[in-house]
Amino acid sequence: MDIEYRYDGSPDGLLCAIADAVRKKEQPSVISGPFQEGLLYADRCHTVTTDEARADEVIAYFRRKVSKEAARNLLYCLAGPFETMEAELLAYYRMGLRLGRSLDRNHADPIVHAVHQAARAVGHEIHRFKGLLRFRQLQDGLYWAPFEPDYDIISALVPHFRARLWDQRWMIHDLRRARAVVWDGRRLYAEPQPAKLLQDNPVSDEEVEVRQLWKTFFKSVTIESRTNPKLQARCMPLRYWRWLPEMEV
Amino acid sequence: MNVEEKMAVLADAAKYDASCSSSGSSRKGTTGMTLPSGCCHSWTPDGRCVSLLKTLLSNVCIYDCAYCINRCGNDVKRATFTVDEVVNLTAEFYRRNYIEGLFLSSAVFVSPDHTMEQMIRVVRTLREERRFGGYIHLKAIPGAGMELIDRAGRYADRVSVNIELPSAQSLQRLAPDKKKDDIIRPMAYIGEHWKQAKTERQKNHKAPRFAPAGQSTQMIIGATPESDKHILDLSQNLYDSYSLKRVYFSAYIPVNLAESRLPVLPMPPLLREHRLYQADWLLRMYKFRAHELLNEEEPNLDPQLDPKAGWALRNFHHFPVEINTADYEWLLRVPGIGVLSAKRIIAARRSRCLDFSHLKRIGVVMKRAQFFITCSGKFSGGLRSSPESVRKALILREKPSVKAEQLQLFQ
Repeated sequence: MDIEYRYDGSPDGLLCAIADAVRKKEQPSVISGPFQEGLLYADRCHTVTTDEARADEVIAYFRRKVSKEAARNLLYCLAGPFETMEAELLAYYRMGLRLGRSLDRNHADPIVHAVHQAARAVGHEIHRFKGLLRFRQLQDGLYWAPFEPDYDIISALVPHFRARLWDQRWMIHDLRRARAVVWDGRRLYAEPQPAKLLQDNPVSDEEVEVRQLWKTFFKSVTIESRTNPKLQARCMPLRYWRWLPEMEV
Repeated sequence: MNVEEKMAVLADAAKYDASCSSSGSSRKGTTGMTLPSGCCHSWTPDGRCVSLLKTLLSNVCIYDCAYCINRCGNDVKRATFTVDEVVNLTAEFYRRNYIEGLFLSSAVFVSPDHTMEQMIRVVRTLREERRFGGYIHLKAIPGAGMELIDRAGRYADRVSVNIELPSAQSLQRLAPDKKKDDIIRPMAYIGEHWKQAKTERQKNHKAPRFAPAGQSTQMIIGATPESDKHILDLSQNLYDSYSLKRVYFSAYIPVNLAESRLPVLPMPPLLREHRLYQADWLLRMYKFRAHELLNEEEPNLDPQLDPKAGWALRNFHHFPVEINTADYEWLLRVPGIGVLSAKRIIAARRSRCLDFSHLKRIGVVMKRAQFFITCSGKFSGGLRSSPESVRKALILREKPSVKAEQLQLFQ
């Protein structure tokens, strides 16, 4: 029997779909989002109800039953390319409930491998942006950090920068997804309208100076006789250059 | 001179220091903290990462080292930062997430002790007045007093002394003002105190830190006649005797062209540097010993082949290694299997018997590993009986990762 699961295309929706499949002991032939093609002839189509609280429980259950590491892999995939790997994630979840703690040592298994690969790509981008995110000081003293990541990693970056830059006000701003998180010196919150904070708020004079110093530094530490632009582009892909002051022409 | 002009001179003068790591320490201040894993913030057009604000405090030097651009005989622009300038630069760069911290070195002005005192004032201000928790790497000036080294270690995450050249004779010839003893003594001191502080902190986590990220050193490759064997033996000794974290190699770049004590090279020996780093990696991560990699008959690394493959070919009688039963130590010795894939193999084979398709998924580089392994007794690809044919096959499959050196037409 061909069963189709339809969910709303959100990470939480997918978690609920996984939970439904596990509870009903069903094996859907396809789990599809709103923009994906479903089955031409499905014997039955189940529409998943997205519930945030339930999604959180699904992760918490997985963490308890399997491991912290496995739950993190799942979360990273959900921040990344989950829309192309719903079936793998369901299989990974099921496998986790069956195998428990030993799930992630199955490096030779295609499902585990696919999940690890995707989670690694997301983890890699998180690590990259811990270094590549740039804050610029605006006139009212807010430090604005715009970036365009491939994956939805803003919530993974926030704790890092709160620990590091907690004596200044800042806003990390994912321009691709129009999401922003603000730290006002005391608490963190999601800012629904980041544009409002940026209006009539150009960069400060000090910012212009410091940026110029940084560019000078960057130019000065380059060793010309070792020039290797390919290596540079491999370590720091071109798509990230737009928001790096040192790469401005 | 304004700050920007000083920056141009002093950052430029510091760029030949190869060290850039910001790892191995975990600390938190009012502004900033360090990540045990380290973090790169940018990459310059030469492909090296920028993780720290790497600069000299001053390039006014009383010494006359042949290989150095800042030696007193050279006619270059001279500049000296004030303490506040370095402190502010570090803090402002850090606020914008440009850097992970500060790497402060200096030419020797007035005297080693005076230079060291000024450098310590910078890090003391950062740590005590600004409560700066970011990473600080401080270069110890050879010849400075031990009590200054001790204070440096209290504030910095890493303190390092550059050994500069691989032998005392070369040092005598090219850097007559620096004495071998002035370099080794602080190194021994740092090594010992680092160890002590570490054991103290295991007992009591409030015990004071001493350079928690350990020490490193650097030497210039290709300016003097030492063989690779000599260099690796020395590195091994340094790791063993002074608990060094890293030995950096920097391919000799001629900056003083009219210097008769130095060789003329068409370009920096980057390939040699690369092979030495590979060998160094084998010493640190793969439990190799220097004498296994090179010996009196073959005192230099093979430019065509990585040192691990070279070792495997010389010890061909130990292979093939059976993936499903071999110890971790033996898996590590197989070319194409790294630390990560060896660990994964150990984990994965607990749940199933591994074959070649699994190994690919695990991340083993099959183009190298295939000649040295069996899976459940089976060989993959070409079975070869002699190390010579394996060598040929390996070289054929190797993409040159570093451009080979251009040969001279007339010599």
